[in-house]
Amino acid sequence: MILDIVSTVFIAGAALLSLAAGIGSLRFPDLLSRMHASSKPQLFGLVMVMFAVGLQIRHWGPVSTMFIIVFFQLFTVPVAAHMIGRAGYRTKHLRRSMLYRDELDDAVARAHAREVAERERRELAEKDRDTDSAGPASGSASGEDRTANDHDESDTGR
Amino acid sequence: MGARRRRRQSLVEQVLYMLVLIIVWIFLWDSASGMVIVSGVVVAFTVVRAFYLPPIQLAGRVNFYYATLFILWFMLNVLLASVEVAWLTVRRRPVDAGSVMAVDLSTRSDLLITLVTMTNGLIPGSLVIEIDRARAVVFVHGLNCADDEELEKVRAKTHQIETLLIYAIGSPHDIEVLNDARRERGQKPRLENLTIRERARRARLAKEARARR
Amino acid sequence: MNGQQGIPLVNLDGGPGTVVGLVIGLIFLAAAVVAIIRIVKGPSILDRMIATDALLATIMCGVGGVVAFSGRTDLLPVMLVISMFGFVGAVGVSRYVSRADLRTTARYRRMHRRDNDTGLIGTVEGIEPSVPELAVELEEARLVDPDRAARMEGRETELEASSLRVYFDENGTRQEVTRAEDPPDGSSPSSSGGSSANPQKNSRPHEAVADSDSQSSDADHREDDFRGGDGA
Repeated sequence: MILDIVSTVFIAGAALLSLAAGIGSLRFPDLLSRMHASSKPQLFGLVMVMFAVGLQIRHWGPVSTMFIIVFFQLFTVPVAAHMIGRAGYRTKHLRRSMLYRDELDDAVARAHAREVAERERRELAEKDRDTDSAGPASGSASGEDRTANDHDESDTGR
Repeated sequence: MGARRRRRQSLVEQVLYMLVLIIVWIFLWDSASGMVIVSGVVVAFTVVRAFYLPPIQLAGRVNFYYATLFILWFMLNVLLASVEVAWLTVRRRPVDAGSVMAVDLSTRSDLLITLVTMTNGLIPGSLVIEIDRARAVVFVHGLNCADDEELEKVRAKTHQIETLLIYAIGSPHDIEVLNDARRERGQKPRLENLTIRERARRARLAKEARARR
Repeated sequence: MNGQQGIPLVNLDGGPGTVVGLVIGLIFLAAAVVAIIRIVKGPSILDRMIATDALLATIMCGVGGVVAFSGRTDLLPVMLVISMFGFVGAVGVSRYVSRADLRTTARYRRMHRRDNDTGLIGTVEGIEPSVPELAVELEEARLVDPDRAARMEGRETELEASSLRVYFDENGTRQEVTRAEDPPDGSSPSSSGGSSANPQKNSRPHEAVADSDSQSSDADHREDDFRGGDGA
């Protein structure tokens, strides 16, 4: 009898956590915040449901399958969350300005500035080398360099 | 000599992986009869050969005290953070802005960075968005982090995860780097006897004591 | 496993067990409906994927509840398969979204480059200048002389970014400002009269920095373009 009550309490807790996850995915303003709310509390809910099932079914067979289920969720939920978070951060139209401090943006901006500087340096070096030899191919060489590097940037057909 | 030792090590590791896969197979079939074990060996062997992954570099040490501490701390934090996120979803005041912060890790090992990332992903309130592999910097998004102290709390949580993991399964070099970082941050370094520096110092002292005698 | 039965928790004849089961079922239903609302409403595909993940997890917990309540154990592999679907779907959608926005991911793809000489992997921060003295010089210039730092980094100085064409420097001589699109005529624009830099030292600093080998060739860059995805 006590086991039944404990199992019921666990399943009710899991149901409430699922409801909280759903409401969170509805109420939170930003994609990344919704990411937190939707998949994480439900992992704990799943563990509670597994406890409830384990208390009810006291054979070793199903318990081992439940171990597998919990371990699978444990290893795949953070990976999926990380990948969705990364995709959500990288694509500009999904990221709103709802971030208080964004150190990743600073790092990326610094890296981008440095890369642009590198590219310009290379072009200027080539231009200097070419103007020294006074060849007519200087313009086309730097132009080629520019188009090869700007190919991805200018491919904004989408 | 080194090459032979490396090859023997990788054979042991491969057998270990196959053992884990066979155990998973047994758990899936819910019985440990002979047929299941034989088919498990066959399937595990096929999987390890067909989907060959680069081997994980284990450091070769496990500290059970810190491993248990990590598991207990992790479960407690998952419970507390789930309740906190559930509370955030139903309270009247809307959620504040989040923030993305850069956390420097003291380890350069693939396995440890992956474990830190996954643990961060499991605890509600923090999520790893980007990993800077060469500098071992992990970019963490914190939920409801609208002022500096909340930010530092999330950063401290990530540091704590990394500390427990390195003390549990990190290499001695990682422990040394971590202890230096902890000293800079003002925390006490632990497991001093395992670092290479400490071992070299003790070896030197022992040699001097022997020379004096 | 398929033959074993547990002890059912709820007998559906009546009593408090039925009410409890009904209430729990209603809570699961409400969670599922809220997730479906987000699937319909979500402004982007990632929102929908997140809500689908939440829905699948709710279904998993619901099936687990059914297993506990009715004592049948053949639904446990169903939970495993549902979790697998959730994971594969999430990863697939996120990889698709990462590829779809080429402008941003190209920028990120270039950040993760491989240097064939030293074997370093490029980072989000970019690759440092390979000559340490230049890195030190750049840092000093950033502290002391912003125009020189801008020139070393290849950015525009303040003077170039403005619309001035002619100005008078500290000696009173007339200087002209040449922009990047002007044909190079040997006299690169010097710093504004207000700063303390001397024009001779600044005239060709890009030569010094350009001598450092850039660490990734175009061939390496193109190889990264052919490698699938964004290095994920």
